[in-house]
Amino acid sequence: MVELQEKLRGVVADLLENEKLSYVIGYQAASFGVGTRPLFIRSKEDVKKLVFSPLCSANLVRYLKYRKPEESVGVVVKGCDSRAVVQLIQESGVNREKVKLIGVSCAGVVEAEKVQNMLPEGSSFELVGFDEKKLDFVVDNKKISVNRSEVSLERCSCCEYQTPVVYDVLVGEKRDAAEKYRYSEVEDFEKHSLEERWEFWTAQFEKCIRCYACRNACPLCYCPQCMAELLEPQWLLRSVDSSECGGWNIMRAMHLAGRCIGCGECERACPVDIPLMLLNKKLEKSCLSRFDHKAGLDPKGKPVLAAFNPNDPEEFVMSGEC
Amino acid sequence: MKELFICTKDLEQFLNFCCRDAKLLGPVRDNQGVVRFCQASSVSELVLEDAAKSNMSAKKAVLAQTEVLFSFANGDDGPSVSDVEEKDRVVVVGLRPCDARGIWELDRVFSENVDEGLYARRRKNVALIGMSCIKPDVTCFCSSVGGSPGGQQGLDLLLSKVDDGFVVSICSDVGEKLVTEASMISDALKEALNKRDETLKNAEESIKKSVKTQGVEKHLESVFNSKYWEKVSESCIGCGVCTFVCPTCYCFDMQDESDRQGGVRLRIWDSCMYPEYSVHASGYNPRPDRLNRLRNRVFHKFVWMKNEYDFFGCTGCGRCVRLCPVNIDIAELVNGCWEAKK
Amino acid sequence: MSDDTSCEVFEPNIVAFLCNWCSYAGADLAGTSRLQYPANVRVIRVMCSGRVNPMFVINAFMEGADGVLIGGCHPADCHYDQGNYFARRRMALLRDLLEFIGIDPKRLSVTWVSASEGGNFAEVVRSVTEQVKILGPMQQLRREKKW
Repeated sequence: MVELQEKLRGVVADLLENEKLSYVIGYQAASFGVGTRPLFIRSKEDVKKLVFSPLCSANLVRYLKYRKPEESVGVVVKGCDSRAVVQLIQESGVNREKVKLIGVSCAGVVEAEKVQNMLPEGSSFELVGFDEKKLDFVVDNKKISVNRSEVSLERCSCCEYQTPVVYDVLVGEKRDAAEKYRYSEVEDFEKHSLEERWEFWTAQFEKCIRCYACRNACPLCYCPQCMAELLEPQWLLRSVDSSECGGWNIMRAMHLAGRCIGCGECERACPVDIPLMLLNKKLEKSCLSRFDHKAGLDPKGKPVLAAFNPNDPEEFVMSGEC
Repeated sequence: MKELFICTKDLEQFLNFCCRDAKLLGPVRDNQGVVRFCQASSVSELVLEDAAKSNMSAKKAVLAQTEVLFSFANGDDGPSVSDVEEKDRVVVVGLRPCDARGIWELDRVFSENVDEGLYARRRKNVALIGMSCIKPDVTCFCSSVGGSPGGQQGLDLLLSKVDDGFVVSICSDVGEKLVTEASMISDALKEALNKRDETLKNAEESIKKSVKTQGVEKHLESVFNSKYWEKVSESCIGCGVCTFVCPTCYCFDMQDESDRQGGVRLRIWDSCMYPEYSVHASGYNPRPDRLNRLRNRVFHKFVWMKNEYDFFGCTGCGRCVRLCPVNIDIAELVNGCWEAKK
Repeated sequence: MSDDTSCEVFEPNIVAFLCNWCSYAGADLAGTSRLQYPANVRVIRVMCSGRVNPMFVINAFMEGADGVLIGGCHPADCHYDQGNYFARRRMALLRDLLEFIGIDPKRLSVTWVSASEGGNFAEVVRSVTEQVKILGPMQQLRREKKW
């Protein structure tokens, strides 16, 4: 499917020229190993560096918060990424007219580090092809294939929107939802008792170093001043310990309730491997079962906490006897 | 200094001997399989043989993320301030030469031209036992910034693996004291020393990344205003992970936590990559953009620290390169500055 | 039986955020009607239950609350039309999240009390206090005093 990459390059080159875009945000090879990293494309030279493969895991929509008001830009979006754009539209967080979306159908991304570990040592790595089942590499002139199933990201196996939900151009064939049930991890976790759950999460919160990489990697965390860093009032003390970090993770999960589109960038960015998606998915599931709401689908929709239904469930509300 | 030898089978016993009556810190593999740098209850928990690098550096052994500077109280006789009691003895086992050099740099920063008695009081309770690097990572570049896979700076003892044991290099008086009375240790034989030298030479030659650092502090200053910085900082998301995992980053914030009865003053790691780091009380921010902050970080490490202390504020451990979510590669960045247009 | 003064009954600290127009007035009515209810509740008046930020609840737990109560107007009766509907959604999600993390959601109670329902308020406070008493002191998320 290297044709996909060539087609994408063609589309980007066209848009850059015809739409007078300041830049297009895409992917290029990382500085080491097989991974990829963001690329800001402004010229034909830059287009030659553009790649697209299952190794393109970053959600580039996060860069829209840095767009200058007068700039028109383009961004390559996969299914989950496009939902972030829709969510931003719902919240008036992006000027849709200034953004050209280059949608790419995605069959799931893979973990670069896992792939690297499956490849032999060498000095040159090249991805020469990929399909639904495998990735083909040439390492120092030797061909080697890696099974996609062994290295794919968990969240992609239950992705419901493999085709972008909004785009100006679509590259690749339209795809259906993946098959796995989305909330099996959440439901498995809920089989544990309250004490066991707390034991698990305290251990996770103790690892947290409050680096805020999760927040900065997220396309939907774009507050100019984050509540976590306010001093007046101060919600979270500066000290880094279990209670403050627990407060931080709860705060962020609540701020993303009904808004998180499941790209998993937070979890990928976390340097201490906290399973952030487990928290976010729990709230995603609650929003679906309580309010029949899914984030980032209808540009004309309202965010779940900015809307209500007079018949919203209130089984938890207490009433007195009188 | 003297070089000794310990058989592989005696290593654990030897290390336990060194760590008696002390808190033990080192690389531990957690139940997700990730190597963490944290407290261990025994040497058997540590991952020493692996080339695995912990995501977090050993910096927290000497500069805790949240540290009590002093406490104060409102007593019947009026307000009083008390020093915090000294910490227990700490022995760090299994840190790599890049991490140890980071601590060596911090030692100098917190002692030269500043009156940081607290750091010194705590530091003297920390002993560092390092392991030489046999297999540098693809992101390592210690040899470009004054370090090496067998570097001894900052360490008290350095263990270098050879076929049937470890060469133990004594790097300081503290190291000397640690091995005194260790009965399972013997003098190193020539074969062991030769094998050690060969291993270190191979390790150094296998380092793939290199950074042209000769004179870079002067060159960087000349390209301060270059458009180069726009290009390199564009993909930065300002997350600060680089500063948290770095063995030499030491910027900190201070805050008091208190109630009517008393409180503490805390020192907490901060990051120059956040806008809040430099914002003034008036609201004005001298480093308003990611460009300013990224450039500032590079300059701090490669210009100002070099000018002030004659070492780069970087030990080439490669953590920031590996863990940056958008793969901003500081080695690539510094190499690129030589081509930057002024 | 000896008088064992070392055995203290746990008296929970419960913080209640009550909306000015309905639940606070209802609480006030309970007071003026001389209705007896447990003194464990400390009231913070807010203009509307919709004003309650989830971090109020978290901060309350951090600072020593064993339970939190949010009081608002009955649905369709909110003084500001919709505030209580938003609060209902928000608190539902917060309770789900707390339960998922391992914090008993019974520590966070939500109730609708109108300005004329003094008795209802007293009864709710009785129930909440009893419930939190059974759960015991809240140690999760508690801020540690470092001095």
